Amino acid sequence: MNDPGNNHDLVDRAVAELMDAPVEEGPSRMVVARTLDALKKNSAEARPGIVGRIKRMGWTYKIAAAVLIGLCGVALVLVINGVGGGSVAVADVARKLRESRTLACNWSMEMPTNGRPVAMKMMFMEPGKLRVEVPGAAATIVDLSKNKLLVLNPMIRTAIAVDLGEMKGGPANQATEMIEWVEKIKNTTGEQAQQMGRREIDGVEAKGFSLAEQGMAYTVWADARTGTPLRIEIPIDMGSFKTAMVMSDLVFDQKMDESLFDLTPPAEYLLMNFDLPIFHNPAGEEDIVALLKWYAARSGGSFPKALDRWVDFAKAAKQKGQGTDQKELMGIMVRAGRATAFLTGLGANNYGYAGAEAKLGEGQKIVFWYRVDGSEQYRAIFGDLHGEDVSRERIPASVP
Amino acid sequence: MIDWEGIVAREGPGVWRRVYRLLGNRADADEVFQETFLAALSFSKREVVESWGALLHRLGTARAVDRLRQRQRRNSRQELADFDFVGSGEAEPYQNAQAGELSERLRVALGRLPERQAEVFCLHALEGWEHAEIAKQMQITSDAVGVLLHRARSRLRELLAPMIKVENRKVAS
Repeated sequence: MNDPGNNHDLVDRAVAELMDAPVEEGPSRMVVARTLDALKKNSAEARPGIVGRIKRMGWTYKIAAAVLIGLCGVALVLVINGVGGGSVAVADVARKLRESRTLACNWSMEMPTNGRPVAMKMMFMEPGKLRVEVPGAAATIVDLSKNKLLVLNPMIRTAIAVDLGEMKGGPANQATEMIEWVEKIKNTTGEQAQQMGRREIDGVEAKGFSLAEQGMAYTVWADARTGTPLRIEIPIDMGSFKTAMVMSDLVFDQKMDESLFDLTPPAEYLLMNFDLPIFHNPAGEEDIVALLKWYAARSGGSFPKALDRWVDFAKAAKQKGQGTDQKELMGIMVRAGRATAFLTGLGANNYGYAGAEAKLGEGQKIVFWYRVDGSEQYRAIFGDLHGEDVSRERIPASVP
Repeated sequence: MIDWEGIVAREGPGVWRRVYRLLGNRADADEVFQETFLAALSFSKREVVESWGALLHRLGTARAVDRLRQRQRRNSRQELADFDFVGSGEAEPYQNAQAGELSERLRVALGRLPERQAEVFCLHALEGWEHAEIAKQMQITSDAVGVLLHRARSRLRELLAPMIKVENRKVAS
């Protein structure tokens, strides 16, 4: 620095002098006002819409995100079912659940698309408040005392607000149903649990209880000494992939900040009162039909090779010459999530798919079939996308 | 809906200081300040903004560098003459160099650097950003940041070298 012949130091000296140079006070109020005015005008000219935000996401990611959102709803039901199962397994476990005012847990699930587990965090607080977070993807907040639900998606800075009071129909209100599950869980005694032995979980000796209720099997591991639930495992069999939801790090009566359940979206989020069909009725065959119809329309009448190959749906969405309408795109993303949720609920042994061998309009070919667990009656969707109740003999592939 | 009032209130003073420091006068700083926020608005329509602070500081730097380059183009003939004068035996333009001229000289030199070199240099040397941070904001690799920085410093040394000759002569006399 002291050697004036050193060019390198001269750069540093020049920088240092620039940094030390006085800076006038600013910006002036006039400049701020002018800037805000310009921002307002330019924002109004082309306010970023949901489609713009969605377009910034990769296609596979879009579909995956949609499926995650769809699964989020299912997960809530399963999670709460799982907690209920744990509670009925043993009196101590049930008491822990009954007496707790808050419950927080992590849960993860291996996904076939990216090989990484999907991690979520769930928080429940009396009375009737629920928050489920998919880190970096979405957070769902339910507050039954306000009869409202909010979905926050930080990837596309979007908030979707749903007034639960506007919903009609019994099972339509999934959020209400979730909370009701919690209440039921808290009052169950548990008589159907089977002992699963002991194992160590996070350094704690745990006792396992296996439960099978309403077509869903799961295992609860509770502290062998105190009965506090430690871990809940819910196997998921989708046929083409098998995985498990694992609820872990269960914490009861943790102090939770009310702001976690705040239904006011962050200022930078685009608030949408989007009419998400996922909240109006349970996922079902109409979601499969909608998904197949959309795909076929974009693929020359062909159906996808498999229902869970999201990459094929991404390719269909990118077909040249096919415009991507934002409402259509959101709709199909939600459909993908709902379809996945529907199939998950059915269980891999209770449905089949043969769309790869059929074309749109082939009214004699069955492309999808399913049955409700335990039922002898099958339901089939044909190539022309009409649905029929059919006997087992008409099902095109071996079924249980 | 983006809370521009909040963002301008929160980030505006910092953006102002950065652009003013680079430009050295209020009129240009006022204009670049507004351009910076409008550029941020455009950016937000294309991509998700993870950090308004980082984005605005980068855009402010880029717009200020762009303004320095505009100045350079406007005054290219004179500026070129200034640089080429040194050592010619005629009256040296920096013979009477006073405090503050070195920083002004740096502004001129930055305006003569390739845009990305100047931007990377400013973010690193003036803003104190790490390579990784610059790489993330400019969507290039850390290695590329290193290369751009190296080239920027080399070129700045060349452009500022005439000052040394002047100073040496001043020391000798």
